[in-house]
Amino acid sequence: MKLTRSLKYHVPSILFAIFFLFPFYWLLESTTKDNTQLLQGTFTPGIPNHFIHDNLIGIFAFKNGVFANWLFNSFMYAVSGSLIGTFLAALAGFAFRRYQFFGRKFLFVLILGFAMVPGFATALPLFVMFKNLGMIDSYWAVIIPSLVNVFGVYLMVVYWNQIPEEMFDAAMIDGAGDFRIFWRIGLPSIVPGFTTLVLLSFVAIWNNYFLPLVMLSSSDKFPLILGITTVTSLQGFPVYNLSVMGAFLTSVPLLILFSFMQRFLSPQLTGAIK
Amino acid sequence: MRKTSTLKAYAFLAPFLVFFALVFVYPVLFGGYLSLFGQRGARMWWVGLGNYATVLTDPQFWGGFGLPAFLLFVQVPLMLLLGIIIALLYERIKHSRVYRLIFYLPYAMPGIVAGLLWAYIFSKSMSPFVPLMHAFGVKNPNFITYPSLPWILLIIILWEWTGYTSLILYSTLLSIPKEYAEQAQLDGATHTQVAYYIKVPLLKNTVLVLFIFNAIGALQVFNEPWILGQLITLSPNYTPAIYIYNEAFSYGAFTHAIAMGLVLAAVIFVISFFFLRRSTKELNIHA
Amino acid sequence: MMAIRNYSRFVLVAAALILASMPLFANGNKESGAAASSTGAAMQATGPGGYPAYTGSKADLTMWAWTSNENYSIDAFQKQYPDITVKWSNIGGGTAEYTKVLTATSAGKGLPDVIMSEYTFAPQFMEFGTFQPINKWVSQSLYEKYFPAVTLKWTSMDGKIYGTPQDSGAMTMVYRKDIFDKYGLTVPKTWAEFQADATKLHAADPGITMTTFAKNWILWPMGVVWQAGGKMFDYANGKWYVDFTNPTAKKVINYWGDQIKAKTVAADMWWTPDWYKELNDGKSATVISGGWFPEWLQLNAKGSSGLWRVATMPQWDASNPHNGEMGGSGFYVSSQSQNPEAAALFVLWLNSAKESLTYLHDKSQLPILWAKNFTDSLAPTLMQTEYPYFGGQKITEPSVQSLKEVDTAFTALPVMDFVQSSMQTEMQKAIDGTESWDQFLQNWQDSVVSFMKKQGFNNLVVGSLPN
Repeated sequence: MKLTRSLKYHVPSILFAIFFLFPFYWLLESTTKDNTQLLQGTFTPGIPNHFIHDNLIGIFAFKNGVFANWLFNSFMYAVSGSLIGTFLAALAGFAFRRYQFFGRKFLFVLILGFAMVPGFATALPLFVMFKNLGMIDSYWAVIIPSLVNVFGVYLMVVYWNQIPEEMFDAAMIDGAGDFRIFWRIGLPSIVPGFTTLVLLSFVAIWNNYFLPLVMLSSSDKFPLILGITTVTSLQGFPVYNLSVMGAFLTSVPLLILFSFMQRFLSPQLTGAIK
Repeated sequence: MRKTSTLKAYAFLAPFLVFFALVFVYPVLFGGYLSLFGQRGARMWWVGLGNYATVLTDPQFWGGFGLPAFLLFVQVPLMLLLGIIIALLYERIKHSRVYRLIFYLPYAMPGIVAGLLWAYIFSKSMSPFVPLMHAFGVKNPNFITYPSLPWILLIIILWEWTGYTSLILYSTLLSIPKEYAEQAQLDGATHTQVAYYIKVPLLKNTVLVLFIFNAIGALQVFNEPWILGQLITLSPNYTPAIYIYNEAFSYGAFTHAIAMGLVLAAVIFVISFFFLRRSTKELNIHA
Repeated sequence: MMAIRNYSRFVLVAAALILASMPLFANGNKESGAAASSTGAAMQATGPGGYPAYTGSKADLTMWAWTSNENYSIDAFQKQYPDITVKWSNIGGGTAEYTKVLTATSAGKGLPDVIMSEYTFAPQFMEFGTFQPINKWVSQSLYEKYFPAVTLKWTSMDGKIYGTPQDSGAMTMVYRKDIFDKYGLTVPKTWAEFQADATKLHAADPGITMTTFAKNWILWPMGVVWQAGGKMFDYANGKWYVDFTNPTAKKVINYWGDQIKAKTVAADMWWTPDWYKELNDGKSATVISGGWFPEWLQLNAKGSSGLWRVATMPQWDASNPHNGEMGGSGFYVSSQSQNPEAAALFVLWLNSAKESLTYLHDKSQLPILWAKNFTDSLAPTLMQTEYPYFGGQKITEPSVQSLKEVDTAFTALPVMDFVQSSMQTEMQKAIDGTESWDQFLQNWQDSVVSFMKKQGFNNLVVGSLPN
């Protein structure tokens, strides 16, 4: 189809773009303000500019620079959780795709069913379990639950379904073992889907607030999203300019990651569903 | 031909299942056991199905479904409609990659942060719209009020998720063979007619999938109303998820909260049951 | 201040303690001897500075608290008690911490040794099983040596002491001198004068209100009723008493309700950016809040520096002053602590030792502390300090005076979260005019009572209060 530059299509697109971009713009210009300027509610950056002084320095100086810990923790949780979790989901999806086995349909439904129980309800049992394992308030308490990505398993089944049966049959005829088929033939074929899932998981883990809230009590283990909510005045009341700066700094790594990885966002996200 | 190979299958499934059992199965089963007890602090006493009886007859619990229902019947269809329109736009416009990136960005922002930003943007004090409204002669605009709250939430959730939705729909559009559209155009159809009569029907399945996952999200909605609760008075049962949270973490009645959570899960399960049946068929998951 | 002094009983208890305790290597100095004799008897074996010695082995304590940006006075404490180390963690203020506390208590594990809690939430934790009694190391007589007895209502229940009080929220009124001067208002000494000022102000400029009633913060209505010498709930002899419709409460709430109706007083949510803006923009002539508020104002309303002043509260009866509290926190020993003696000694020292108090006052910016050492020794030295933010006023004097006027106390209900949220929902109707303020109190009470019953409290007394 011929791509058009016609105005009647661009106008709604631009309007949507303004709608989607506006809060980012507001966030960015708000990081330049101190509390008084924030309360004035303007569209333009603050003059004098408080971005570095007060705001950036304030956040990094908070409690002897624990912010750096938070940043590191978020990366650590998100990278390990997304990579390993996606790998586990790929393994599971492969099993559903490739094999006929006892309990196949039942298991598929069961997994989705269990995942529907809201996290608040299972928080206490989860807490007790990790406490018994001696892992409460440790990095493991956050990483282990991040490894379970039920939606990821579902997506993986979709991606695996896109690989024609013939490819597997050919490999089998060549005498390859099952894991080799998975590792050498299968995975490389679903790289776009795999990368997509890693990216989506990364975002989800990076933004996960509730799980670390329940599991962690040492602030040096907090991820960014949890840490910035503890940046308060001494009586526990929010300090708005630091909140805004914290929100900004929590979003920026994701935005950078997104823009960079955008070409991997596979158009075949749900390709098999026709 | 798919082989029947139970041992091999479970070998591949094992790593996932181990963690799944640890993180989901055990807590739900253990939680289910705990929900048979009354609890105050570390003290527990047997009540059998007492908690469930309370939950099922609690008007506060069922009343909380009002907002999720609003989201389900207003926000989700609206978002799907917008998503389709935007996906069609992606197809037609040059440089759509830029738009795709921009529209997708809100998804990257954490829900808590997004809620907070919009709360500030709509607040009386920090909102840049207030001076604007003054210019129009409106004295004391107050965007966030109890009646306006569902609409504010609508805007926030649309902002967060429409881009993501449109991308998924776009990817489905991409897999529609070009020939269909080209043939229709040769027969004299306009772009709009092509869109309406050919493409949209083929999006049906994707829309169904999206509808169900969004329905689940709507029934479990927590983040956005919670954040806005800092600026405006909300009842403790504003949504079922908020009610469960309060029951557990404000009053410390954990076993009762677990019972509520399991009931909510059952409701969600029933609603998505048809989807589950459909999806297992679609993905060739036969017994 | 109510001071229960019963010397003969004190001597008996002290004697028993001395007989029961092991002989110890006391580290006392002249000061401790003088301090001991001034209260009429010796205590358990004295440790540093007259405080009890630590009889246990090496202990490592953990603590959850949020009012410091540095390490509280822990370094100084560890010098006094070398066998005890304290690791402090800020896991969030108020409700963020309480979430963890409730979870860990219910799980039977995961609590630190020392927990900071606001006075209004402490009864919930006491009833919930979060704390353990420390009478063994901090007896009531020792407690009363360092803290006014009135504070026992927030740090103990049924005679069991669970912790010590830190800062005070004794109510003060801060007002905008520039607004008062501009409209010819006098600083009100009685509530009648306050109402007259409010009416005058409203007539002159409807855009400014005399003050803002906090409709989302339970401590505010609770405080103004307290300041009238009343209360709406209490705990005694194993029962929770709930009575929101007693005459004092009705009088006070209707007083404010009338002004809200007349629009001379605003009813808004506090602690929101909108409210900060009001303060900065001079839309509120006064703010009625706890004694810590002046410090808070300095941090958050920089734009109005120099314009505010601090005054003691207007009174219902100028010849018979009372005061109440809005806020303040105590430090308590958790029921899961394996080192309760160390934890008890820590909370005692932290909140009463002169060295610690100086540190708390300066570094944690807690302006008024409950410990007697503060009001007796430290505060007098601060009386002459001028505060530029308050136009050079010496604000310590009215602040300490406000503290001294707190002569009644009561125990909060163990469901304050619900009390607050039901207040918000119910009060909105009174504000909107769809029900009377008396009806609001009745409906609010009914809501709280039915909630408590649902949560399993079968020891309620509705409609009367103990004293």
